[in-house]
Amino acid sequence: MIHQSSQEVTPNLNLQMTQKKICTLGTSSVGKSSLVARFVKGIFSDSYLTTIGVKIDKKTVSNRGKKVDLLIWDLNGEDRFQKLSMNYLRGTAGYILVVDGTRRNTLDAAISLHHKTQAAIGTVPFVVLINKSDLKDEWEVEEADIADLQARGWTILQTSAKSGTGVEKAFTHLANKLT
Amino acid sequence: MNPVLLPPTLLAQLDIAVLQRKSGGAFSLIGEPPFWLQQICPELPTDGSPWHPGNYLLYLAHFYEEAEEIWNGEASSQLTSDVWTEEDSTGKEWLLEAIAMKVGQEDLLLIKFPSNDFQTLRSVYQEARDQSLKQYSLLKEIDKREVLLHCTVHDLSAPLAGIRASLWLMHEDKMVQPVGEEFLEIGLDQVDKMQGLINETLTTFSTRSKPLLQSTANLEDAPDVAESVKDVTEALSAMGSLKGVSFRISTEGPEDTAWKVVGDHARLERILFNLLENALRHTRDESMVVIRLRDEGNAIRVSIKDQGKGVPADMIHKLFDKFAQGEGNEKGKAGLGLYFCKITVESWGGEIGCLPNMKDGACFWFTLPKAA
Ligand SMILES: Nc1nc2c(ncn2[C@@H]2O[C@H](COP(=O)(O)OP(=O)(O)OP(=O)(O)O)[C@@H](O)[C@H]2O)c(=O)[nH]1
Ligand SMILES: [Mg+2]
Repeated sequence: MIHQSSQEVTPNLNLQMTQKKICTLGTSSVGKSSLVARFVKGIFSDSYLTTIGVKIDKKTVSNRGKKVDLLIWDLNGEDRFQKLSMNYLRGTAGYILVVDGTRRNTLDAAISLHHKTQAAIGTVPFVVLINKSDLKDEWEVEEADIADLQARGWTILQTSAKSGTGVEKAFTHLANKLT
Repeated sequence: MNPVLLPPTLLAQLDIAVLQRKSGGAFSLIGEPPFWLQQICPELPTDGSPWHPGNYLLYLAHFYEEAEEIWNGEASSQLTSDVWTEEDSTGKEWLLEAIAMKVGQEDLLLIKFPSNDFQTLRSVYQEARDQSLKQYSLLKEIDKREVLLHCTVHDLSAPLAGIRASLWLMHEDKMVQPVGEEFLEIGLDQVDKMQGLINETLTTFSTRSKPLLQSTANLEDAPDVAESVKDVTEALSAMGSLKGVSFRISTEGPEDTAWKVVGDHARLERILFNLLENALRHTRDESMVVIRLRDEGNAIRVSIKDQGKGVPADMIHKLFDKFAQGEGNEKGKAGLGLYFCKITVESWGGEIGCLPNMKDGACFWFTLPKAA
């Protein structure tokens, strides 16, 4: 278990605003970086540039009426080529688990990452995003899979970083669950 | 070594930013800033006045927590961070790592490119991931086509057999005038040609297994269904363990039962894979999927029982139809799985079904004649 420090990242700058760290988790090329780019900058690109390590972005959202700076840690995907360093997760207030709807095995990968994360940092809020909803015709993740996860009490949202559908909602949903 | 005495341009040429920790968590840069640091933080003071790099390189705030132990002299003399990516004002990305160290009384923070060259590291991962995505979609496409091909061919064969039977009857019972008889024979001949084409198509395009409508009846090549069940459950066990689901295999029959059946090895495994994956998907967490193999004399019966919600009675008769599960998004592959099982099992002289009224989960079964 990685020691869990205060969930608020205290900046050196004298900011009045609270900062919350959240992470994107999921196997490679499910669309983690694309979701962040859509949310933070409102852009999307079809080309795939894999993330190495972590890239941090900042965006102000309102959390139950109060302004909060979200520090979004966009992490590398964990797959057979590269593991995720659990050290990145220290101090995370919440995370989004991203699944690629067109590849069912990315759901299994997300579930195992969730368990690993929980073992490392304990229980913090999270949401599951089934991404690429613009390609629904090619989805392998089925309604039954989604119902299965919902039955565990998980929040499952469908998103498309390409069209933007559900992206804003997903991040604000998580932001509102952060304590 | 006193870093303050190094020639100011040296560090810039080494592409390393060396920062000296001051009071209040501020740092001042030693020497000239490397090019990339100027790109990332255009406001960087170059006269050595203190600033807060953590406000620009957000990852540093996280690293300070560990670096503190080095600077407070509690841990060994240096610590390297994980790698992170910074985007500069032009959108270019830089892969960086930081090193905290204590040199004499000085607390130092070095920021540099990771020891693994950025471009190499990234391009290796990029290439590997691009390739595995390509492979995945290729396999998916092949799979979809193969199943579709078999289904289509199966669908073509049935009406063709009907046409052939009708023509044959007309010919046998002399239902047409002698002039018509000639045309009948041409018709019959063409039907046979078409059946031949269908068979040929199957052998040519289905590279992974034998044509659907033929199967092995000879003992040597016959697949062993008990072996296949074992292989397929092994292949699925990792997926099962994620849900806490285990497989139990039981066999019923005389001790000397040979589990060899009529069929083709690759397709039998696909049938089992479809049924078992289906069971795994629908069974509850922390439950068991039970596979029973029973020797019924002339045939082997396989049943697969999960502990899910079961199949509603009004769904059972539609389950094995083409595109059966086609609710909205689940067209294509999803709808063909059970249909494929049905036409394949039936083409080998077996039967397939799903038990009605099972309250505590679904139970799918199929039988196949024993290989003689
Ligand atoms: N059609 C579609 N494509 C998407 C969507 N989101 C991402 N993609 C594409 O999927 C590919 C991978 O996207 P990334 O955002 O780089 O994936 P990632 O999860 O950050 O990948 P890693 O950093 O390698 O772990 C890119 O080609 C994107 O254009 C989406 O919602 N719809
Ligand atoms: Mg990424």
